[in-house]
Amino acid sequence: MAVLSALVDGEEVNDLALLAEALSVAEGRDAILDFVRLRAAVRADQSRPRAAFYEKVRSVLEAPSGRSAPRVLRRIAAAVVLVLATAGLVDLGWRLRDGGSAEQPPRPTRVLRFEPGVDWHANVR
Amino acid sequence: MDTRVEGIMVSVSRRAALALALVMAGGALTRGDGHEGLAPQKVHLELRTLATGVASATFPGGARGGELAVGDSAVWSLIVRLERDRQGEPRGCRYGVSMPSVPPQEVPEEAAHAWEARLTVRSATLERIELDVDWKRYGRDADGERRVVRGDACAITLGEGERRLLDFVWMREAPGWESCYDSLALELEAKVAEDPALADRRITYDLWLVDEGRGGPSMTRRWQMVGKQGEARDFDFEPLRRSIEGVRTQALLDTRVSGSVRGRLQDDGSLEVALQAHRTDSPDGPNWALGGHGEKRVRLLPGETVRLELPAPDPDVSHEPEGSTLRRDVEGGILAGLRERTVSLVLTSRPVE
Repeated sequence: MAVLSALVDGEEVNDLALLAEALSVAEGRDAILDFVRLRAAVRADQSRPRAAFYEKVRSVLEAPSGRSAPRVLRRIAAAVVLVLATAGLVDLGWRLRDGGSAEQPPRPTRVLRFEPGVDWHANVR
Repeated sequence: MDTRVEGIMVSVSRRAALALALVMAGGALTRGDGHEGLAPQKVHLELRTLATGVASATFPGGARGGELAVGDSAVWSLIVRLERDRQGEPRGCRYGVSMPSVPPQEVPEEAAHAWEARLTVRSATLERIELDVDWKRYGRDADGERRVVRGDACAITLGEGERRLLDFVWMREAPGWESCYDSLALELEAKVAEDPALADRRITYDLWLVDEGRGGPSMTRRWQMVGKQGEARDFDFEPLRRSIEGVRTQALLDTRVSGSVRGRLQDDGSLEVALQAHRTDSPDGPNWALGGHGEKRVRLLPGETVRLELPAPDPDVSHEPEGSTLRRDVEGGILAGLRERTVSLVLTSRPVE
C-alpha cells in the first residue's frame, strides 16, 4: 500500500515491480480509489477554527514587548548552533567517505556460512 | 571448608551453564546449513523424446507426465514411429509418439524404438528431487519378440526444473528415418507440483550484498525482486571494487556476486528459501579470476533476515608457474588481505499480502 500511496502523492516510485504487483490485485486498485476519495474529501472540507482559537494562538506567538534576551545568552545560542552545524558537517563527511554506507541492510537474526569443500565449491579456473 | 568447596562447585556449574548457553546460542545463529527439515513436496515428472533433424535443431516430441508423491512409483512407456499413409508409405518426416497406459509386452512392427521407465520418488524438498530411475529401450527380434537393447538403473538428484538425458540413439542408418532425423533421445524433467491453494502467492526478496572488514570502509549493494510461489529469480550485483593491501603492495580487486533465489510459502505461514550464490574475484585486468559457488536451503519466518557469508578464495599456487600474476599476488599477501574482508548476502523475504 505504501507504494500506491506514494504514487497518488506524486512521489517518486523506484520499485516498479512492486507497483505492478500492487496494481495487479483488486485490493490495490480499490486502495487507489480510497486514496483519491480521501484527498477529494479533504479538499472539499470548508471547516475553519473559530475566532477564539486565533485569538489564543496570537497571544502565545506575539513576543512580549520590552523584554529582550541578554546579549550573552544570544551569543551562547549562536555558539551552540555553530557547534551543531560543524558536527553535522563532520558526520556527513564521514558518511561520504564510507562510500555511502549510510544505507545499511537490516540486522540479521541468523548467520550462515558456506563451508569450502562441503557446500561451497571452487570453480575450475 | 565444605562451604568453600560447595561455593567453588556452584561457581563452576554456573560457568559451565553459561558456556553451554553460549554454545547453544551460537548453534542457533548458525543453523540452517542446508540440513534443516524442509517440507516434502509432490513432484511433477515428465518423460519425453527429443528429435534432432538432419539439418535442423533439436525439438521435444511426445511426452508422458504426471504427479507423484514421495514414495510413489510409476511405469511409463513411449513408442516412437514414423507416421504412414493408408498405403503404408511414410508421410514426409512426421513421426508420432504413443504412450500406452499399460506397458505393452510387444513392440509394434512399425516402431523405431520403444522406451519404458520405472520412476520412483525417493525424496523431494525445495530444490532437491531424488529419484530412482530404471529405464529400458526395447527393439524387435527377427521373430517379433521384444528384447532389451539398452537400459540402466540409477539414482539421480535433480534441482527443480532440471533435466536429465537418459538415452540417445543415432538414426542416420534407420530405414525411413535417415533422410529426416539425425538422432532421437529420451530425457526426464522434474519439477515441484505447486499446492493449488498457494500457487498464486507471491514473495518479495530484499537482498543486500555487503563487503566489510579490515583495510577499508564497508560497501553495500541492493537488489529487490518479487517472485511467484516456487519461481526462481536471478540476481547479479554491480561488482564491488576496492583496493586490497598486501604485504608490500596493493591491488585493485573486483568481487562479482550473482545467483538465484527460490522461495515457497508453507501452510503454516513460514517460507522455505533456496539461495544459490556465485562469487568471482579478479584483479583489475585479465590476469586471473577465482570463483566459487554454493547453495543454502533454509526455513524462515516472514520478514526474518538471514546473512550468508561467501568464502573468499584460498588457492593452492604450488603448481602455478614462477612469475605468474596469481602466484605473485598470493605471495604478496593480496589474497590474504582479501580474506580479511567478509562478503555476505543479507536476505529478507516475506509473502505479498
